[in-house]
Amino acid sequence: MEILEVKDLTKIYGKGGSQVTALDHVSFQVKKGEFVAIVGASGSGKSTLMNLMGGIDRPTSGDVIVDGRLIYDMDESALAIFRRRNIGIVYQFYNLIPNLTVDENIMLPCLLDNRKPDARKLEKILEMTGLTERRNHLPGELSGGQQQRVSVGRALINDPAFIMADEPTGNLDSRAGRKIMELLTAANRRENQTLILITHDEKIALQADRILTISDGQIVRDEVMRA
Amino acid sequence: MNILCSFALSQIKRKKCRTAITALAIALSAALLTAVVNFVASGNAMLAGFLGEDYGLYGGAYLMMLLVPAVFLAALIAAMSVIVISNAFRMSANERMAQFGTLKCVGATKNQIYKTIMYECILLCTLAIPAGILLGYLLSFIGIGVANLYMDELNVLVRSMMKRVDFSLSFVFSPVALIASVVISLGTVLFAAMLPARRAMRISALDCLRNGGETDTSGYKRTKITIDAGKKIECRMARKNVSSYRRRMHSAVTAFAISIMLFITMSGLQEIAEGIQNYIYADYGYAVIADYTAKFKNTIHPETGRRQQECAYPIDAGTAEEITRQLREFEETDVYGSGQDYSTYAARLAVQDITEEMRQVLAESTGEEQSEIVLDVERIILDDRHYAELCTQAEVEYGGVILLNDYKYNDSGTERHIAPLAATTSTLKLETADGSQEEIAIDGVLETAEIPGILMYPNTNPIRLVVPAAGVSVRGYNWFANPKDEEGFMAYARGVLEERFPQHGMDYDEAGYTSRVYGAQDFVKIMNIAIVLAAFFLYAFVFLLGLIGVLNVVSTVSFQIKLRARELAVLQSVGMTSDSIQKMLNIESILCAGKALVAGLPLGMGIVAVMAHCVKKLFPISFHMPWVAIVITIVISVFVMWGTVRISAGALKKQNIIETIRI
Repeated sequence: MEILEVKDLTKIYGKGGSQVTALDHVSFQVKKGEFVAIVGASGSGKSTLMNLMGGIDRPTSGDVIVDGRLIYDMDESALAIFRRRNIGIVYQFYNLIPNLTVDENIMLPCLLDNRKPDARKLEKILEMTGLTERRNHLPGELSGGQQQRVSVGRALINDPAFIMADEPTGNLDSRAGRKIMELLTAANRRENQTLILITHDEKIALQADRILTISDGQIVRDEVMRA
Repeated sequence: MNILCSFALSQIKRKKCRTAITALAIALSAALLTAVVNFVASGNAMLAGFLGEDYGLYGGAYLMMLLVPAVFLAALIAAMSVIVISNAFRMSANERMAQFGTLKCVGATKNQIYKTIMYECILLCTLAIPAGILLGYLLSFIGIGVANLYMDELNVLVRSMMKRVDFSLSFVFSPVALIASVVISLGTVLFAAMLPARRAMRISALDCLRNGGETDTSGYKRTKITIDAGKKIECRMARKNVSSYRRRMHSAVTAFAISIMLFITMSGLQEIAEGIQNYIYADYGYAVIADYTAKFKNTIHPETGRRQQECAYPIDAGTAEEITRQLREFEETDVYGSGQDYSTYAARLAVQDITEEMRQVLAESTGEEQSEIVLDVERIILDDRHYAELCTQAEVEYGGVILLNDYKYNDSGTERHIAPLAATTSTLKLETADGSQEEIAIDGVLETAEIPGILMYPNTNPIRLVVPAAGVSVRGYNWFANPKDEEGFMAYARGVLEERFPQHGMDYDEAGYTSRVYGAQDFVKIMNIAIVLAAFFLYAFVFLLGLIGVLNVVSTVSFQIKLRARELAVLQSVGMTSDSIQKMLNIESILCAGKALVAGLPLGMGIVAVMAHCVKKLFPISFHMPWVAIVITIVISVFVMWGTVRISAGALKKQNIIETIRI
């Protein structure tokens, strides 16, 4: 069963002579529970693809279907609500709210929905991320690895259709990076959570079920590592 | 607490300094709006006190004296407040742009982003608006107290000239005024916050994260810095920076320019008021004036269609002479008596009867040359002794008619005197409104330089004749005196006039006439008090409005310097010295102040020039641009901008370059 379908996605930046085609007719599908790594050189279009799949940006043409829904048919408000309930995003530079505690940052998608998160779910995420002792700390009081774990926790809180992680280990030392990957793969393996990971790191990419290689805005290789 | 509300509260707590400045701006705005609403309520109570609840005949006065100025002032305050408060929330939103980006990425809707800023506004309003309204009441209370310090003296002076007038401002607490103050203040602040909130909600998540919300860079001017040995890099970079950051500084420059414009306008207005006062006040060399004025009605004669004046109680020359004699009995005081009749006669003249200069003046005012000219005639009667003296001066036998051959007119703001009648004119054909005519001979002529100063008052007719008093009745008569005991003479003169013209507590309208005794300087004092009061309120208003503008400048400049911390650190890292950076910032501050001055000064001077031009059409006043105020404005503007930049840049010196670059 496909949880994500990318259909003929094209993104062109700029106008006239200064046009840049960041994505050129990209199509692929991701199944429920699949772990897909997207690899490619700098400027190949990886981040553009992630922004489009997450509904943060809109394409020049093409569609993205998440869990059977065409996300670009939604207006901005509906898309925002859809995103907070169905897509979890992890950035390289954490993007945490500096004045919210660890707890609050993790609960943010629920708080934006004006609903109280399931306490057991929160405890489980805190335990999983090893942040129970740090739950009342502010991001500024945490190490980079801890901040990224908060970011992963935030992505998991709503049991999204899929998690997208853009170079989640790119700003961390190898130990902290390993810990983040353990968290993400655990979510994928144990909870059957779909995971799309953008990375430069070959070792990390090799952990995925499938590797998509992107170059000059096109998918140039689609390798299945394990069925 | 709602998560959005907690974001807003957190922003308020974190940015204490800017929150304080924003709250102060909101409070000042509410205070000024409250003071204006209170001014209407108190002014209404004062006018209703002596005009009656419905203002009687002066219904239009309510609109002209209270509502129009109040609406104008309120609109000015609201406009200034919107610029300043909107800018404060824009800065707050800009600071949180990355946060908004993250929120949008994790699913915050546009409406939620909008609400975050509006919550911040509402939280600030809950404290600042009540504080502002209290401050507004305090300002009104102080203002009314200051006004009443002068009111008692003003009432004493005015009552010597006009009866049944009582200027007394009282502090009025009106629930309607309070509600109006709250609604107007809240509306202004919410509207001001709405503008940046709507902008923030429209920016995409990507732009929030990537560019700090700057999506449109088309307004940025691309300037190239070329290293020229002859020119300082600090100067070139400052020019480039002012050009690049002009959008960010736009509101500060605009608010500053408005403050400058208002200050110049107020200073010009004061100069104009003083010019009018100097023109209207004529020093006749007498300390006390007593007068009698009969009520009149202008009507149109049914047969000739000409305007005529009907007066029920004119004063005849005999009565006037008797009063003069009675007044002279007080410690042998010299009394000069004169009465004028402006409207009984008109002179029908041929072109050759008037001088070339007069023909030109008439042609300019009517727009065409006329073959026959009709000019209003002013008949003047004097007390017997002074009439005899004037006859001697004009070398005319007692009983003769003396022509005061002087016509005073306003030549685009300059008072000019010309001789209206040609030297050959020896008789005048006078006509009354009913068409009857009589010819009188001119027995003597006094030219401008020979006419006694006491007969050179502001409003005169083109043809002025001093006629023998016998049998003449006039609408008004004045007695001028220089007594040794002014107070005693005034009391005595009041007694004399009251005996002759008893009013029995009735006013001018009811009695059909009025008589007054007052000091010649009283008019100047009233004008001075009026000007001092008006200047006090207007300068207080401009000062407080200017303060809002200055708060905006301080807040914007310090925020911009903080935003540029990284840029300045990079400059330092590539070898720019602290002194050079300070110099560059100093030049930027002067250029920004210059931009505000370039916009505000010409605008203020233009408004003053237009006002002066309009007033000069009515009064030949001498007027000069308020140069002192202009110089003060330039110095203060440069100082405020430079001082703010210096203090803000000083705070950055404590920061570590590497740490700042890594932010």
